[in-house]
Amino acid sequence: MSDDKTMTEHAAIKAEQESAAEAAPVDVASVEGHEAIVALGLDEHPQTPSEALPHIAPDYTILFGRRINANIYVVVFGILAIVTAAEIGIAEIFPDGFVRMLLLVGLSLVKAVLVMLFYMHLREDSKIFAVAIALPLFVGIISAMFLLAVPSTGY
Amino acid sequence: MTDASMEHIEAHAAHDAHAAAKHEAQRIDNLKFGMWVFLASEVVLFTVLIATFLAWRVVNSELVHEVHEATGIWLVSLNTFLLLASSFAMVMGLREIQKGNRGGLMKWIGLTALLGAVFVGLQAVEYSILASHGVTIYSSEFGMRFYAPTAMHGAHVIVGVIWALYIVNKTRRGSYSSQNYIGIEIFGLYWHFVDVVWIILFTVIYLL
Repeated sequence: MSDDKTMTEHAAIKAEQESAAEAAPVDVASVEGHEAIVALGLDEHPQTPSEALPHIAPDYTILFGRRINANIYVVVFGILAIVTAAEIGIAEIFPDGFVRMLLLVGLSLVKAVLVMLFYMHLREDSKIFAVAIALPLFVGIISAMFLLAVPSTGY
Repeated sequence: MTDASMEHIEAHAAHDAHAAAKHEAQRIDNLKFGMWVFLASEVVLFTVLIATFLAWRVVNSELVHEVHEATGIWLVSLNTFLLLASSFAMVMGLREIQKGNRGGLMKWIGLTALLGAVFVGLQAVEYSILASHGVTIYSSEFGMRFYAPTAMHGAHVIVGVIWALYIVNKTRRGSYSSQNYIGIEIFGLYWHFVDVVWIILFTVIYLL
């Protein structure tokens, strides 16, 4: 009886195998080739959809070698708030001049980069995303500098 | 049924699973790239508006200082903190759905929408204060160059608030899970971009 059952199972498996082979013939060479690629670590694509998704930020952050019991998003928000407060202080205290402008522009760029790296996940995502946003930014800044260099005619 | 046949079937199944995973990863990357390209077009738009303000401001700094003194810095500083907090709420919402917590997602995205709405409300207050000082879009060259980038940004915040509420509604209906949250990531990219634009606008228009 047990043998009969096994034979039935085998028949079912064989039928499934045949129908699967008809629907989509297996390219053994490509399977083996793919395994070789994975074994060599050359496959950039993850094995499962869950692995394709970014990792969840842990509940702690290592900042300058010190462990902080807060996730990276909390730490970045804290830095953004402190830098914004510093910007307001600089704007209120420092007299007009090159140093004031340099500090304010520098700090705002630090904030923008922090948001893009950590909140927009540019740090871990494909570099092509960074290129897509950097190119028009670069062209825009060059154009703005050109605009600033043109003497005003009272437009 | 030989062992070789079984291995063959297993290899086939593994290959199919890999192909599906690869396809899904590619789909997610394509969606994100599409959003980044859209944001790149937004960079062009805001760069033009900011450059126009800067080019005018360089030769009219006295007038800008007069307006700054009339309006003060504290209201817009509060607004800046609110928008930064909304970005934080957004990314915390994403983290919650990554952990499979729909309730947490709704709470944080709801907070994002609320903070965005308060931002727009305070911006309206700021505009009314400016109007009371005679600064309107038609009153001076400053008005024209000030309202164009800030109002355009405000319009983006309004769109973001509506989008956030739409996501809250979809979450309530169970559309997102720990395995399916690309829609929230795409919204997050938009919202954080709006935050980045404000970071630059705040410095260029209000602080310099």
